[in-house]
Amino acid sequence: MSGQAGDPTLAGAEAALATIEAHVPETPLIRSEALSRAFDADIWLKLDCATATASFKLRGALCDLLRAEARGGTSGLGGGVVASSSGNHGQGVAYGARLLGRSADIFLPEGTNALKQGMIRAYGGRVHVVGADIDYAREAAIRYAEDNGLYFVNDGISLDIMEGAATMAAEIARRLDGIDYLIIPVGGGNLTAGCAAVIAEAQPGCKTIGVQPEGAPVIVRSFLEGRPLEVPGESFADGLVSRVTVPFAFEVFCRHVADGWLCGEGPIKAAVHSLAECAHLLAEPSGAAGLAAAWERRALLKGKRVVLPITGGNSSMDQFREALATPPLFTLAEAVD
Amino acid sequence: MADTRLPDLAGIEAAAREIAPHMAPTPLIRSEILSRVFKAEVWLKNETVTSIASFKLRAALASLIRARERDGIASAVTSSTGNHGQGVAYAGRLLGIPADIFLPADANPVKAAMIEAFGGRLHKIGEDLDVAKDAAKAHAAASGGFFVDDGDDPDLMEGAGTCGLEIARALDGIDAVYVPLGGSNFVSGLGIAVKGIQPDARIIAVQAKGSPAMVESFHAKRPVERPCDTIADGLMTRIPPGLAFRCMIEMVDDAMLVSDEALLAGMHALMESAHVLVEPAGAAALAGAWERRDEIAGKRVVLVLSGANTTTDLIRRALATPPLFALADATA
Repeated sequence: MSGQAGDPTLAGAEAALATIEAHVPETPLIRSEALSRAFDADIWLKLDCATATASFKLRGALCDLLRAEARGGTSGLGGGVVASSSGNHGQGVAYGARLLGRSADIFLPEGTNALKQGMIRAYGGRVHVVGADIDYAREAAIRYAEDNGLYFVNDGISLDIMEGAATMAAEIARRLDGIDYLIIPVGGGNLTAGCAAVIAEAQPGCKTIGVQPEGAPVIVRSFLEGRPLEVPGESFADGLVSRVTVPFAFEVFCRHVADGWLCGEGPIKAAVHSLAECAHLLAEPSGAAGLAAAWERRALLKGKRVVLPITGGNSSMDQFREALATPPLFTLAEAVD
Repeated sequence: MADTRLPDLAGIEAAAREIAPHMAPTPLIRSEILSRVFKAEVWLKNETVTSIASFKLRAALASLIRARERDGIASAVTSSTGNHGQGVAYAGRLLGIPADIFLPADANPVKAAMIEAFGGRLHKIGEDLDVAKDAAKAHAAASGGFFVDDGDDPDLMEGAGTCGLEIARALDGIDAVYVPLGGSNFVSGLGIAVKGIQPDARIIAVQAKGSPAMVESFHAKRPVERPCDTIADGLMTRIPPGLAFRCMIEMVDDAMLVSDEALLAGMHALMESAHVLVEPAGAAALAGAWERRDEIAGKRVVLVLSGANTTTDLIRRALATPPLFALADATA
């Protein structure tokens, strides 16, 4: 397993950027005219749906794998790589492993989005579907790695993964000043924790908000109650579902995140629809959760500069149809009126 | 007033430097699924993720920056089915120049609304693009504004060509680039850039069967007018514009037509297998490549996704159309 020492820093994220940028070019950060008008605020979208694996997960996976490879010896990649995932992290790990010429065994919980399973196989990953949820899958993955002398990519424990994910915040901070809110969808909390730590250093006035579905709220509720909880989850936003907190990610989250918001299933679907109609984007449900929660609290955001990372675009077409059949948060006509 | 010099690689390189403070390079991504399906190396140049969700901002920025430096213009005037109009409105606002945008009376409502949102003053007139253009020219002449001529302006073409520069600088050994074809401004500029750096790369332009003027003109080697009837408003031209057409003849290796059905099927395939939303014109490159897939096997090709300014209705229609190929088949 990879090292952990203290919180991610801006310097650490900048170093991680140098490590990964040859493989993960900077993603677009664009001001959305339509969303800015709808919110009566300054709304920017960080398009991590436009990476090679259509999610931000490549950042952390590649940072971890490249650094582990460089360290070599007993900390190196051994016979191959193992990860557990709801789908996007698994794609990132499979992609990274293939880049380094290693095998990848990816453990996914039962019921994982079939599109994501297919994409993992497409990147050369071996798919193991095991466990009722992501945290059970994780336990199985860790056992498998130990039994077979393989390297487990430890999403939520590894500083390298967190700094890798936090390269998103480093990129944002390079391009845009005076950010008031950074509103990020939360699965295990690794991305939000890392970005919160880094943006707190780069722009101390910026508040990072973590967002989860009401039906899969464990990280946000644990944060709000100030202690790790166990809460089984279920949501249309399949990338955001977990059951327990993961120690390192949760600690960093609690230290740097300003608030946690929950949002309903309907608004998540409506947010996917609004992103398609008003921002011309295909966002997966997990990637739209930030917008959903932000819309509910738009009174707070009026006149503010807000960055919404669109964390992924790995939507199945059935998910997309369902979202388009749901009335959007706002239509384009309403937004630009 | 823009001169009638020919655009060239040096001009495109200069345009890249001029627009750099205002827009970042767009993603060029190798598509795993499309590469499997085509048994080739398929890269996607994603112009949907700009501030205006299309490549048109490049051209508008270059044209206005240069016109302002040359003549100190007070306003910009243009005609457009939408994306170019958005580009001029947005570039105008970025540069502090008022913009008057003329659209056909039945223009795409999404695009019209966005032009206004970007600060453009909207004028809806005429049954198609070319009638709107005449009205725009008259307005410019009457009001002393700078007419941004989509198709007859070397600055616009060099701006658009910056897309090709990014492609050719980022990726070696390109066998072919498939590009959506409207007025030919884009394919020509892009062609000059790509061939300037990689002379062996082929440029294939793809237009709609329902708007075949540029393709028929290309094959006839002279301007041919044709009516427009297609869902892909980004591929529409009735009358080939002079300068862009001359450049197209020189820079483009082949030009082909695809049906509206193929465009919808291409949209569906791109959403499912490449996780990107495009408008019908934005699927033209994929639809064209799909028809030529026997030629593409074993090659390195780039498909340009020109834009994503489409309506929810068209997205639903695309989802209801069988995709060109299914993700399940590629990942079995």
